[in-house]
Amino acid sequence: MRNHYVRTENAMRFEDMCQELESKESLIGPSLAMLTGPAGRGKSAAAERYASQTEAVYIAPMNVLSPTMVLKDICFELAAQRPRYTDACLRLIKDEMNRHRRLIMVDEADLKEMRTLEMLRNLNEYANCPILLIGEMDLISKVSSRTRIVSRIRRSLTFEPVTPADMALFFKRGLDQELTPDVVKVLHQASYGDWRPILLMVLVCERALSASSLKAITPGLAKEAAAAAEAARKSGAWGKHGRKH
Amino acid sequence: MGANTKKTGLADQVRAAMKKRRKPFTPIQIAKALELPPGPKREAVAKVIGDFHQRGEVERVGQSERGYLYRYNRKYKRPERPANLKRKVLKAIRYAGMKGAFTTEDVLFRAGVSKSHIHKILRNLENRGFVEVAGQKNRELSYGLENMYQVTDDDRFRRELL
Repeated sequence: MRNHYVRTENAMRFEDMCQELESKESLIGPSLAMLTGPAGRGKSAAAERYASQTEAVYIAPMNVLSPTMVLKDICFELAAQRPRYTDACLRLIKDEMNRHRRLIMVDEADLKEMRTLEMLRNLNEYANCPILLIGEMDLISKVSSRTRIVSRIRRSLTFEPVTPADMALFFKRGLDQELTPDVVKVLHQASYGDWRPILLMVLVCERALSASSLKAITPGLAKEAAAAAEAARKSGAWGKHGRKH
Repeated sequence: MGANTKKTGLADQVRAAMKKRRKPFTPIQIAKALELPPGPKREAVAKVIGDFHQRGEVERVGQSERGYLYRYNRKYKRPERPANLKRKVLKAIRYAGMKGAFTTEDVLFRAGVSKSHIHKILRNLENRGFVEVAGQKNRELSYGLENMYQVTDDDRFRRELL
């Protein structure tokens, strides 16, 4: 399987939002923004890919970090330095933003302490740096509990469920398989709109195709793959993931 | 400070003032050259010069009655950045490495460049000790095994390559 990145509608809206946050000509300026969605919708993948392709900075999930540690991580990503003191961190970030504005993406922000989110809000104001908070749906209620933060969020995006068209494109790119409408229906239903079951079903189909004389994914094979995804979902393979859409 | 607050660009002003000077200077001399009044604004200049010193953009050359003497390092160059394509691959390798062992597919997914390009860069990084082979796994689509890599030292990777 070729693990191709599929530029879905979610991904395109995400990239547009990031470009708007980074742009000096943008009307919203260097703001706070939020990306939410259930696990498995491709939020982290989209963020990592965007950070790889541009000058944006991605702060990987690590829930034990204090606000100061997050600040030092941001300094390290921007300038490969970890100043000892908080005020030096703030000055460095401000200096770097004045030199070259870059988007800072903080993943699993819903699991961060409120102190950390308040610190990021302060950082956004002090250093004029655009910050994107990424997290599951809990992030919305967490942020909403603080007017100081929610009032500064100028853009918000929720990743919608993976569409049948996105899934079909992934099968096309990954396995070079054109799916028939009935196969798409079976597989999409088993995916619950998330990428992880889709990846599993692709692997199941790929192994079956290479082990047999089959040239295409039949409805029978699709049902097998769907059953495998359902079994994984019921065993809790993807945590709380697998909501019906 | 709100998002609409006018940027002062103090660091750039300090840099410009330091570059004009041929002789060593103290922070207070730079602050006076910028016509800053005594107090927090002059202290800010001292802090900025301290940051520059930490990065190597200014050198400390002595001490006077009024504080340390500095000289602007005219040979200072910001770390060179690799070509754009290579940079994408390096960033992709680093982000893939944050999740543990990774394959070329994981890098391809993030970087969006050709596999041969990724292989070439990974071989080079392995020879230089930035990544190492962490194991092998079965290929998804064909037979045989493929390497799994890991970043040996993330700090060193970031500082020396990005």
